[in-house]
Amino acid sequence: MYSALFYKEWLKVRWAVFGLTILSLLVLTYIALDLAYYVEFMTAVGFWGNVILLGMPFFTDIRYTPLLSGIIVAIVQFSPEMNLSRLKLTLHLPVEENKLLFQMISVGLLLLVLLFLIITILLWIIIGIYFPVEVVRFALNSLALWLLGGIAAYFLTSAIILEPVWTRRLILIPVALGFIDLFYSSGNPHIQLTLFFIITSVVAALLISYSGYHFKRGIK
Amino acid sequence: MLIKTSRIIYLLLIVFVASIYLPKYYWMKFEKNIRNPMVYFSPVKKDFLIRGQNINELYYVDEKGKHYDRDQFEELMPLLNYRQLVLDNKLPDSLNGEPLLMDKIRINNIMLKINPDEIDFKTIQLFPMLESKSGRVRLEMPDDFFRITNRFEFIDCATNKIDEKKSACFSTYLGVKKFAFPAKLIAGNPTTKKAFDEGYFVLDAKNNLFHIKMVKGKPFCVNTNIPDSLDVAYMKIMEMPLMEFYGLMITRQGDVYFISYDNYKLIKLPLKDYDITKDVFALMGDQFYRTVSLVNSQSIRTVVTDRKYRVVDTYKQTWKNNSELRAGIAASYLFPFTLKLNDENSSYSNFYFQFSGSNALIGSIIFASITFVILRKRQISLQKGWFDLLLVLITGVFGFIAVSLVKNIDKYLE
Repeated sequence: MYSALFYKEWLKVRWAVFGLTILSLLVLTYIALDLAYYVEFMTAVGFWGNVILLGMPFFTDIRYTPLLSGIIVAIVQFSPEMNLSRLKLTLHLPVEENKLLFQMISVGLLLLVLLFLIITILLWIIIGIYFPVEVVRFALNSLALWLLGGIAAYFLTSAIILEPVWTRRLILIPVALGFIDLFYSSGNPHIQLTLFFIITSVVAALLISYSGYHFKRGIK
Repeated sequence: MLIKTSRIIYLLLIVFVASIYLPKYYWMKFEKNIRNPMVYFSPVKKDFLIRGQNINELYYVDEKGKHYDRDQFEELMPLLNYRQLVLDNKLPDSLNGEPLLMDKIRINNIMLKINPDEIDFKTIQLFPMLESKSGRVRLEMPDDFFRITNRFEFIDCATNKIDEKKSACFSTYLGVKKFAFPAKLIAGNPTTKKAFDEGYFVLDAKNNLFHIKMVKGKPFCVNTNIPDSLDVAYMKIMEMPLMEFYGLMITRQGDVYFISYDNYKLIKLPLKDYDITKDVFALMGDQFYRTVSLVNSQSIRTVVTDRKYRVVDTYKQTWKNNSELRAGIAASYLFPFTLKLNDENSSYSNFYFQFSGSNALIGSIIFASITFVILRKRQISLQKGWFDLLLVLITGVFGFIAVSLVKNIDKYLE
């Protein structure tokens, strides 16, 4: 059953995921070229000094790629379901509705996590070519929040799309915007904050079942 | 059950977001820019001078309330303003029986400021080891950076590889000097824009402070024999031509010491109640005095010492900060707490809660009463609506917004 559902979801999102992977690779290539350029023109010593002693940003171009990925995957996965209320059909399958919804988002989540894993590993390698582990760690610490923001954006965008009533959407949208903005306005996060964002971005998935519940029951 | 949990998560999310943004927007509208005064000690009058700022103009006043204009202020602070006075031909030949010589004034004038966010910050733990006796006039950046983990390692910038030979040389030498790896705290002044280089002060794993630098390509390492009982939070190293101290050391308890050139002897500054998480530390020194001010959002406390660090005079001034002004009092009724993820006193993003105290209870009770009425109107019994009510009681306006926006769906769950 799950594999059938997985295939159905995969058909919906594959082109989006493919496109986003290409986009991420392009951005990462840009960062790699950028680093090589800085080393050439500032010399390695000058570049290290700028990054390590003066805190020059050098990997921030990747910042909004995860956010964009989360939003786009949610849109291509769930907006077709809302057209003509196709989701109603899915929800009439002999499977518990919440289980079904969570299986659906698990597909999107899995693909996003894979994409983010690729981004993390490649960024690690690119920065690791030019810098010691301390700098890599610093960069990944910032990246973690941006990736989590992408996950939260995926869940919340899905919840917004699944929500059948516009007034409730209008409430959910500013809450989601305010929440997701926090992932991108927090520089140099303390480990405590990162942990909190890990928990909240995962827990945000529950909002989908809340919207789905409204949808199924047609609660106005 | 799941739906109920989802709703609770949704409510909490709204509370979380609201408790960050509502106070933020509120303060964007109502925050007043309170400019804290600067306190100086005049070596001429032997008295404090306070520089304050009204909306657009600076004013200078002494402790008795007598006002001065800028020219008078400059004449009362001849060492601070010696360049202007020289230009105006007003610099006295001598003061307090000592001749005033330009070079001596310049070398004795020191300024040092430490913000709390500088203390609550960990930089990337890689540092350049400058050559301190290169025989060149200008300092130069080396080709490598070092780290002190289980040994002393130099990493070459161009290849990003460890320079084994140099690393082994430093590691062995530090080992001989009984340095306990790894380092707990490394402090230096890694810039070439200084007169000379004193390298780094490094706290080892056993809390001993070592002075490490590179002299003609060879390691230099001395145990400063500073008591290992000090709970050091921060060190600021600054090479100054005065060569009186290498820099200063601040403990978590708020004690401040100069690390002097006199065999690393510590000189304790006569400060009281320095809160390293909130106070800005500002030091001004001249030929005759040292003026140390601790400034936070509502007070300035200043101690003046002579050059032997004996207290000469103290000054304290307090003022109302934003939370004590009308907008702040109104906010304390409205918001039971405020949450910020970024704080001016720290370089980390983290949770910065601020509770409003008992005033907020009044606001919360009002909002809880309205919620009670709303729940009644929505025909939700207390048995089902208790969580909503409790949430509003605890989180006040934030919970109220959440509960008003998110309908209670329990009655559908029958």
